[in-house]
Amino acid sequence: MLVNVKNWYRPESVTGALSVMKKGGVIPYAGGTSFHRGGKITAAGMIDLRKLDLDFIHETESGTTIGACTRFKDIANYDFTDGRKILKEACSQAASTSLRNLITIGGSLSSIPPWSNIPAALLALNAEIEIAGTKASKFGIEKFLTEKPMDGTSLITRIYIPKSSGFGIYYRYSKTRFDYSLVDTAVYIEVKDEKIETIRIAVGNLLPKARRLPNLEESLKGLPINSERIADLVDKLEINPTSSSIASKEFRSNLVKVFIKRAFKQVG
Amino acid sequence: MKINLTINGKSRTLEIHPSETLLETLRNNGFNGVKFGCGTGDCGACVILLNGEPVNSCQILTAAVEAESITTIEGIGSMDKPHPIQEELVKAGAIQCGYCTPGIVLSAYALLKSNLNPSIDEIKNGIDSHLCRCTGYVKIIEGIKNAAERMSSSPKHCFGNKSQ
Repeated sequence: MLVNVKNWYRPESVTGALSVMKKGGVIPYAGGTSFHRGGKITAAGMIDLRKLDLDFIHETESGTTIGACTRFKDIANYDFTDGRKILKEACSQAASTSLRNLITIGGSLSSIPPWSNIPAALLALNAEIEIAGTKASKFGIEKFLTEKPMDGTSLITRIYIPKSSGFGIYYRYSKTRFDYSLVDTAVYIEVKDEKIETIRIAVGNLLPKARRLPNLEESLKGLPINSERIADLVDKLEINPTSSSIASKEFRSNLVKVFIKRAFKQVG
Repeated sequence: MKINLTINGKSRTLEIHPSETLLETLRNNGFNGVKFGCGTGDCGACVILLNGEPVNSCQILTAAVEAESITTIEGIGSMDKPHPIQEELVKAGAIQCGYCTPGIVLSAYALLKSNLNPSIDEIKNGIDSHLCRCTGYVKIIEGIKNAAERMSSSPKHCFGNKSQ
């Protein structure tokens, strides 16, 4: 719940929004769904980001550029044909129809709420996050999730998804369709001459923050895509999930392994 | 602060507090068909159409919808002239306490406007925002399916309100 809001600012450019943010005490407003999940949030003013022209999905030679104010609904409906469909799947399975009509990719990344599906998907796709403001830079997604650069005077402007000619698979498990996920897994695989050439595996909603599984990735690289060793190596994965009142650590740990093995079966 | 928006096809200028949610604004201005349920976007009782798309009005600050178009259940049908979706939900026995019904009707309306021949899975996805603690969902899905069949014969008539 937001309290004590006195002003609304409606800038028409990112520069205009950043100059308002420098005054302090103001909160950027895009989809708005992060503000009403319990607890009071005090803000002197709100900055409406909807006129910044950051609601777009563009194709470039190097990949897809997504504006920070693009809604999950629009990403879910976008026709990704290659491995980038991981992001489409993650957005289409998040929350509910009426919330996907509000939630923006930039908003979900800036607050990283526990129900967000996109960190794992973006990790598997090697995405980059462009930030304007005092921390202006283009962050690789791993660095972004580690450094958490959103400091109140910076805005996420664009998300870059490189071309991904391989297979992209995304799984999410929750007790009901609309519930927060207990674990989500994104797997990106490129195969050359029947062998695994590139592999990125990311898990979300399982550990304190979404992350790749570099040791497992390294051990799988170069194996034939149908190798029986894949299942053995995945079974040896040691992961220590955060506790959950809904499902045991053992169940969630096993679930990740099932998802990863299922992804390889799907590709092979 | 003042805000201009369109509600059920009529332009309105409303005096609001900058922290006010759209749910609060609508109810304060007599649109009582929109219900407060959870206040966290989980139950769907507060769903309205924003520019024709279902959204949780408890999750939106009214100041953010300046110049936008809102449709509430009052813009879809009335006691004297219910919308076919409302009639088919009644016929299917899909209503008990009725608290979730306005939101479900609006979500069904948005779904059927884009797809008049939805599969059962598409209906389930279309109303995935809504919790009903009385009937379960079988009768609701049946009512929406029946409404789709009925509306497919005269879609213009069923989506004729200029506000949507």
